[in-house]
This record gives sequence, C-alpha cells and structure tokens, in this order.
Amino acid sequence: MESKIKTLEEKIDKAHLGGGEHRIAKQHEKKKLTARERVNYLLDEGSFEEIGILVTHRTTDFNMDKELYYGDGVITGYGTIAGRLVYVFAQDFTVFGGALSETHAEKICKIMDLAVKVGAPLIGLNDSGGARIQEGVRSLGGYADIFYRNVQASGVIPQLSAIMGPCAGGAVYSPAMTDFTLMVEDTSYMFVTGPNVVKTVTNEEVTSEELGGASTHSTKSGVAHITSANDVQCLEDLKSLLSYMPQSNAEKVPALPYTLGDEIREELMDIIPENPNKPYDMHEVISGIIDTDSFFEVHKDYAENIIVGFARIGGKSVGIIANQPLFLAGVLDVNSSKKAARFTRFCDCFNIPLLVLVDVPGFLPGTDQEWNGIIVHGAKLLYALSEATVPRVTVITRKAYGGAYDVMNSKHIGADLNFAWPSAEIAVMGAKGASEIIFRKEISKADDPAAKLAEKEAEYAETFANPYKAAQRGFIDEVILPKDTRRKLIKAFSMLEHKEVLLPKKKHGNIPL
Amino acid sequence: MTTNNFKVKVDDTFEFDFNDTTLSEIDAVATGKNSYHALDKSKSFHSEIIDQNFTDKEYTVRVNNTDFKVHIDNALDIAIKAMGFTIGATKNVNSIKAPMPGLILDVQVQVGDTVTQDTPLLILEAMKMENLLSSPRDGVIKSITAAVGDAVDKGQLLIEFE
Repeated sequence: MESKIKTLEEKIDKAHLGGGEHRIAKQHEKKKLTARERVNYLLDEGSFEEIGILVTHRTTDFNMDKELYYGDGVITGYGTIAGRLVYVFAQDFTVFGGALSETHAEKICKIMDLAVKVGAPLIGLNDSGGARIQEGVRSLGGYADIFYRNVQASGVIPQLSAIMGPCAGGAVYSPAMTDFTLMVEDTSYMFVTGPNVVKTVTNEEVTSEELGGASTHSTKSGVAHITSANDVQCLEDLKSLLSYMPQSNAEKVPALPYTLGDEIREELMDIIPENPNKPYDMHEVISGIIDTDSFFEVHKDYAENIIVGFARIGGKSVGIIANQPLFLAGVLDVNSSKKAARFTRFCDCFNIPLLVLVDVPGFLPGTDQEWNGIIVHGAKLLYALSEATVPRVTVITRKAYGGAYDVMNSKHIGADLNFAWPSAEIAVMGAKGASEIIFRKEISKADDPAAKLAEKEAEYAETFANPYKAAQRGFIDEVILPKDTRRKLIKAFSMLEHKEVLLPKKKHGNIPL
Repeated sequence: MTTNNFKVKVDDTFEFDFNDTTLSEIDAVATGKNSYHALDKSKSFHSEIIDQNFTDKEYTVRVNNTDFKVHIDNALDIAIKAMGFTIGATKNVNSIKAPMPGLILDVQVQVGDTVTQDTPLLILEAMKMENLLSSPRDGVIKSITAAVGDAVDKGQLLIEFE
C-alpha cells in the first residue's frame, strides 16, 4: 500500500508543477501568475477541489504521445468565493501554451454541466494560445462543445470570463457568449485573427495590443466589460462582480444585513446646476443614492454617455442605468444603447432590480448614427427594458426629451415607479426648437423676430420644461426632493420585492439584433 | 508533497522565513484552543493568539505577557509581492485628451502654469453642453495644442504635463 500511496503522491506532485518549473518561471517573468496560483487566489483559502487532475490527451500524431502532462493544460474544479459555491476552469499556459485539445475541452464541459445542474456560477480564467493544432478538427469540436454549453447555460447561471493571457481565434467566442469579460492590461489580448494574418489579408500593420489589447476592447470595441491593472486586481474584480449576483436564475439577489437609518442625503440637493447648459457628473447622483462605496461600474470607458453598473441599496443588489450629462450631454447613440440593453438583459435574467436615472437630451443626430443603424440599436434598449420583468424604478433628474423619454424606462413601457426631481424637464423637444416650429408664423411676422422667439421660448419652457404636465397625467408617480431619493428608493424596491409578471407563451422574443 | 513557505513579519520590523521542515522542528505543544507552549534552548514560552483577521492574515499573539502583531504571507502572497502586483494601482496621467468630439470654448491655463488637482483647464462644448475639463493631478503645463474655436476629435491631444 505504501508504494501505491507514493505513486499517487508523485502523480499529484507532477500535476501541480504543470509544464515544469522552467515554464512557471517564464510565466512569472511575463507578469502572469500560473493557473494554479490564480485559482488559489480567487477562491477562499483551502476551498478548491480539483476535478480531473490526472487527465492526459489521447493524441498520437506528431509524436504527441511522448509529451504528456497531467491536467492537459487546464485546471478544473469547484470551490467557494466568500462562502458561495462556484465552478472554475483555469487554462495553464505552461502546458502546450494552454492550447485547447479534445480532452482539455472535455474537462471544461464536465464542470459546465455540473454548474448548470447544481445552479452555481461558472468562472473561466483564459490563458491559451488557441486550438491544439496537432489534434486538428478534434480541438475545433472541443471549442464548439464549450460554445454550445455556454449558450445552454446563458440566463441560467452567471458565466464570467477573465482573459489573463492570449485568447485568439475560435477561443474568443466562448468569453463573448458569457455574461462578463474581464481583461488584464498589458498581458492579455483577444482577436479573431492575429496581426500576421491581418497584414497578409488587409495590409494593415498593427500590434497585438492595438488590435486586441485590454485598452482597445474596453474603449473601442466594448468587448471587455472590465479591465484590471494586473492578475491580482482582475481576480479581486471577479470576486466583487460576483458579490452582486445570485447563484442562478432561480434565486433572489444576495442581500447584506441592513437597518433603516437616516436616509436623507442633503448632498443631492445641489448637484443639478442652475444653467441648463452646464453638465454635472451623474456618478455624484449615484453615490448619493446607493450604499456607501457599493458601486461597481461596468464598461467604464466605453460609450461613456451612459453609465451602467451594480450597486446596493439598503443592502440589496440593483443594476443601475444612468445617462451621463458629463459626456456628450448624456445623449443616446448606437454604442450607449447597445451597452445599456445588454446590461438590462443580464439583470433581468438574474432577478436584479433595475434603477434608471434619466438626464437625456434625445438621440444623437447625424449620418454616422443613421448609417450605423441607430434605429435598430436604439430599439435594442427599448426592447430590453420593455421586456424586463424585474422591479423597475426610474428617477428623472433633469432632461427627458423626445423618444429618449419613452426609451429610458418610462411608465408606458412597464416601469413600476417613476419619480422626477423638481428640476425635471419632460417634453417632446427643447423649448427653442419647439417654439420655432409652433410659433413660426408669429415669429416671422414680428418686428423683432429674435425677441419674439425668446419670449415664446420662455413661454414654452415655463409650460413644458417641468415635471408637472407628466405628473398630472400620472406618467410620473411623484415629484420628489433630491435629498429624499434614497429613502424613496429603499421603500420602492422593498415594496416591489415580490413582483411577478406572467408573459404570454412564446419560444423567445425577437430582439432587433 | 510540495513544501509550504511562509514569510512572517512581526511588529512590521522583524521578518522570519519558515517552511514545513523548520516548522516541524519547533517544539510546541497546544495548551488550549488558541494557546501554545513552546520550548527553545530550554527556555519556556507561553503564547496565545488573542486576535485574528483571516482576510488580512494578521494576528495578535501574546507571548509571555507581551503582545506582538504578526503578519503571515504564504507562498502565493510572497510570489505576488515579488511580481510587484498591487491592488488599486492607477496610471499616472501625463496628458489631457479630448474625451469626446466638440468645440474648444475657453482655455483657462497657459504653458508653464503650475496647476493642482481639479484646477479648471479648458471648456469643451459638445451637444450644446459646456464641459469643464479639470486637471487630474498636480503638475506643470508643458504644452497646449488646442486653441479657442478649434473643433476637436475624440482622443485628440489637448494639453500635456511636464
């Protein structure tokens, strides 16, 4: 028995070394932790249980049977984060550069199946050169097996992907189909085809970082939801992000213990500037409403005219969507609509109530927007919000103009409670434009058309640039003082906690993709 | 099995390295739930863990009636420190770029000016909104590449710091 125990111990020791000490040192040189270190850092200490540690590949072509490593380039298993069960896979770059083989994929699929059956989040730590070319189509099959499971699990359990090294070719589509993608600055990149192929096909000279680095994907493409300065920060971000989500779509959001105290926030009273052409930072409104330091922003550097992220109000998770007047006046455009629509759908999948803060001048005009399909993309946000059955509360802080008023969680598209601050302006268009149209004749006939326009503009603004016309109609449930917003929201979300909506029977809707 | 390494820092001054072998050589006996008795060179030490913080890995240990603050790093913590990873690291900003396309309405600083964090630098008008760009840090203005009346694109360089 003793020798048998020794055999097992030797195998485990060997597996723990991955591709060997030399490659581990190389991984560290590149400012990257090893897969095992990442898993240990991510999970509660000592909670990791590995599944399939002794798996090796089955390829014999190209003398591959001489090169066998236990685990086959991926560490899979389960453990806890802050006491909550999660399933994890971490690709091991020290073994065949983390390349995906048939068996490597089988290991990932095994824990994905468990995660769905049990109903717990799946976290993937990606660090892989791509498909294991020696295996040919078998590795492609492996990718597709994972893709299929990503889709089956979508909306059932939260799926999070951290890109902590290369992720190229087919590999990119698994993270793309999960709920959130995190990227580490400087050490990670994602692209469908690398710089060499780009050069041959399109003659463009581009570096990996420019083509698909963390900064590219967090600012230009929006592929990355979160970027982190290094491996450790990335793993911490994963933990924070997870803390807002339930284990699965069958569960309610996590709630921290909270006792109602003095919920009046005086600082909210002076955020809105007197001058309507002066912007303000919507982040200040958010932090005045939510539990201290509880905001976790998603897509921070992408389509900054809208803010999306998670927060806690009275200890419970909410998803926040807010126009940002500080950036392009908070206008809705192609990218901001897509960003907010995707976030809305995530929250709706996982029972996370939505808070929408509105200060929107309308949709962005111009050929660029029209030719890029703002009609279809704006419709995504309209569709996603209309479809959401989670508790939905709106606060209009300042502008709510035109079609954008309808889109931003108006009463008409199913919002449960709509508040407005006294500074709200809810109208079909701005006072100047409206007066120019309505009083065109009167203005053109006047002795001093400019003075007449100013007079009519003031008249229009007086009548319509306020929340009271909408409140008379019941489109606004209550006009509230800014300082009272937090208290009202705590009560509103608690009142809506058991909201239930039965939808008409259908396979699935047809969101304008 | 793989050996464990620990770096132990006492009162932020003294550092000791331990591994499984050196740990097994310590002649310590548990005398209670959180207390131990150890013998070293025939001297007797009573120690008790009186406070513990698992997340920060900080412990307060009372040895023969003197309290010591002890911080324990395991092998992974040591590796992370060696690689220079810190949480909450930010990059130093050396220039101001246009955050959005717009029109420069006003420039409120000159080359050579010393500014502090939040000093107003310029006003960028976009969508009829006057956006004030303020300094992200303390510093000296090295160059200004935008003038009043300029239409700028997103990402265009406006101001550089020394």
